[in-house]
Amino acid sequence: MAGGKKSKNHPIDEDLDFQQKMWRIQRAGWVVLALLMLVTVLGLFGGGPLSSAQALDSSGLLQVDYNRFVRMQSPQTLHVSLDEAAVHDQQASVWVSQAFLDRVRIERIHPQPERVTAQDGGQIYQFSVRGPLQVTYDLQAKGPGVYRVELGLPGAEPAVFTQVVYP
Amino acid sequence: MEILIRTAAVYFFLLLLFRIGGKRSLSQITTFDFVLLLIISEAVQQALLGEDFSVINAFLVIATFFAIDIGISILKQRSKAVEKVIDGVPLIILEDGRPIQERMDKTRVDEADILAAARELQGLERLDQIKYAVLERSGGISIIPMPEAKSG
Repeated sequence: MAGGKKSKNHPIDEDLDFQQKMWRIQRAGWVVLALLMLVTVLGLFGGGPLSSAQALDSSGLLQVDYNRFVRMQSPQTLHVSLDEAAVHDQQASVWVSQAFLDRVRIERIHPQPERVTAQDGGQIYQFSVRGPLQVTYDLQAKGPGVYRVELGLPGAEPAVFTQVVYP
Repeated sequence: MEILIRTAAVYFFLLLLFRIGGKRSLSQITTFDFVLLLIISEAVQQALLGEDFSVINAFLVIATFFAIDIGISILKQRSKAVEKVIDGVPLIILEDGRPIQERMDKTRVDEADILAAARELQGLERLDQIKYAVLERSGGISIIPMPEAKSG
């Protein structure tokens, strides 16, 4: 017992062993707090280098910029970029799997799609466009979990990625 | 169901955080600590209530806090070990007028804190008038003065 001498005169019951243990745990806790700050800066909870990621579909014409880590009921954005080669007759379409759409609330799609059609277990958003297309989906995840996102051009193999949604 | 989990998560997170922070974290409340407390409560509020602003929801949150708190106090009553883990143990930080520096460093208490407590509680002026200073589980410092004969 470091520095611990118990005598009958002491007014209280000290437990120095326990106190030492507690101090060690406290120090460890401080380290954990510091690490928490660090991984937050790095983006483990969204919005940092660890979090931002890109996915390409099989044709390479569609690219999605997304966050690997997002939080439930807080805003997130998917940036979808379509190559000019994916535009036909000034029309371009993006297919999103229904399984993913069921788990998010769509706040806004920009630009607004001309038509939305349900097809192939998902929805096809059709845009009128000249040149390459940039679409942003502003979303909110409804609940926590690991989301599998499938997003691509209609009729082609979609880009597949996962998002971790924190509670 | 979800609201219970949310509330319990917040309760135990705060409990853990304040144990890690140490006894003195918010015990002697300065003006800024008070502001900090308000901000913490503001930050916690969203997580607790979510988007449900119903009265029932608020009642459930409060009831859950009370239930956990009562439950833990019963546990503490029954088990010394649980009590120690949650409340910590008291610690002598000054004996016979001599501060025990190692313990004071670890608990982030300095002589000025002890002297302040000595003035407020006992009307003492100097460290050598103090027999024991104890850092209590609550985070406050209690002072036991030297017997009159010795200090005189």
